[in-house]
Amino acid sequence: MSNNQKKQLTPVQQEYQKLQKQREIKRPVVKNCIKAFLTGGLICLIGQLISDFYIYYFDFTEQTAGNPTVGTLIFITMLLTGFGVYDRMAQFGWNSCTCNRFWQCGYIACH
Amino acid sequence: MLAGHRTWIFEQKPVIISTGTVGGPFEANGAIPDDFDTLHADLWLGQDSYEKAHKILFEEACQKAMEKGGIQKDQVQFILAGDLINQITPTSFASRTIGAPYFGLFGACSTSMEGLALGAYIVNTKGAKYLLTGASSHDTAVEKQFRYPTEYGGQKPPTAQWTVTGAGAALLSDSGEGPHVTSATIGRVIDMGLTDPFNMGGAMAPAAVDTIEAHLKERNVEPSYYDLIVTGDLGQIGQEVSMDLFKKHGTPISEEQYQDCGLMIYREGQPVLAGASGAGCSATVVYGHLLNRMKNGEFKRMLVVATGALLSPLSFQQNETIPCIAHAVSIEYGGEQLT
Amino acid sequence: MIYFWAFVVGGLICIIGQIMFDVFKLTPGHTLSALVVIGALLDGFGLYEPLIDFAGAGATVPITSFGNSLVHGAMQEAEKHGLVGVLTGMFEVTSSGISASIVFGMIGALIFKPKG
Repeated sequence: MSNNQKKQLTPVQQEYQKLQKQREIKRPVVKNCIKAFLTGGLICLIGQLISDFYIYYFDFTEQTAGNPTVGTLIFITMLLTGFGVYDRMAQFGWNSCTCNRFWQCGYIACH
Repeated sequence: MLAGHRTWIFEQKPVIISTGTVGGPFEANGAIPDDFDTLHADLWLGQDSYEKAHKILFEEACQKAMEKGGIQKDQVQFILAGDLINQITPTSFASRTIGAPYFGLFGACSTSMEGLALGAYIVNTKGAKYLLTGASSHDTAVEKQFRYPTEYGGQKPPTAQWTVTGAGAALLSDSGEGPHVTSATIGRVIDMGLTDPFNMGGAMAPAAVDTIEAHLKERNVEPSYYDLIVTGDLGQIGQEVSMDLFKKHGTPISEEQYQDCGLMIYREGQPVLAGASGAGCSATVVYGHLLNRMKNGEFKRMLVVATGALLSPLSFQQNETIPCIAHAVSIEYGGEQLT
Repeated sequence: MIYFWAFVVGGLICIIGQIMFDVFKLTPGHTLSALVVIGALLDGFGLYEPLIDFAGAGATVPITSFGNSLVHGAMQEAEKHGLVGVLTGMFEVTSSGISASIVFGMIGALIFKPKG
């Protein structure tokens, strides 16, 4: 919250927010980061495998293999979303999923 | 009769002659599955949308209450109910099926007690012989409305709560056998300037504290008068914060008597983070679990304080703070009652 | 070795996103857009290409590469067609990802029912 907004709070509100803050369960940032790192890394590792596959069998170059790789990953996400696995994976390593292109398809599919 | 500024004392002591509670698969795995009349294994309830399933939940809860009370639907004079979906369509559509005159209520998760308080007032003044009141929520429909569709895979912080899939309805009458509704205190809208929609408990706690303290003062009773003071869906954070506030204000409420519906409905180990929430949370727990325990004689007097966060998906996106409300209703069964 | 760096770089980008979400309390949508902007900026400074060479899919799979592609395509076409190229170029390079999302998303929506 910006300082600007904080100034508009009454003293009672500020006091309560301070009290509330103490009880708020802290987000497990380090644990989340480790999870995000592992899941995100794993997805990129799979991406690298797919990318190499395209380079080896389909005459793509290092630079152009990105497109079909992302396409394939999006397809996989669509399946995972459809089978209802994706949201559980996301809760585990959220950014790993959201950061990756993965997300786009899930988003469109669930709307 | 008005006592103080915002408390009603019901001299006729309206009776909850029967109740109906319906839950979903997640509730079936929870801590109190035996207290539900009907449990569904399928989140869809055989419908083709979650909103339609939501409607069925409330319909079934009302039908169950009428069936158990031995009342036909044309004997029901009013329905006072609501839910969390836009324009409370699930409740309105369910009321279309039942066909009784209908008041649609919105008090977010406090709707259950808003309905019970108003219903008791109507029955107390002979405005009705039989009326139905209740509230419902559906996890996936509510998530879609207020946050993100679950398939979108947005991660939730540990302060978030799990919306109950369930409906609870109570049949109120001026006579008959059952727990009595003895008084009600209507809440004010309280806003402590919190903005995090993933921390409802922390936002709602001050509203609960305000209403409870007003109730005790205006009804002129000590907290120990009640065997149980139970909040709707404060969850873990809200409960701790409100306990802190009571201590600070010097209100002698003990930790044993102060409980939360949001912490009763699920088992440990279910991924509910800070606890349960939703309009169906207090409705199912109070009309199922707690009234059953009351009828078993485990306790005689309870004060139910349903809490609600009055935000809309649009209001928090526009960085508005979250205003909250809490309504308290006292339910007593057996034992001596104040007149 | 490229596999190792793909894992590490991809993982690090995800950590940045997680921190934005947990520490700075951004919404998922904001986090995502911020990462796209970071990718675009990095490409603007000419840093994203070397990263792809270094980490392969570790740099192309995360959403930051979307920002990279936007800028990259815009610059490429701008050289050929001037200002109009900025608009056409953006979509030329990114179209495969977007169209894949739309097509697969549509297929998914047709086949599956949301599980909740």
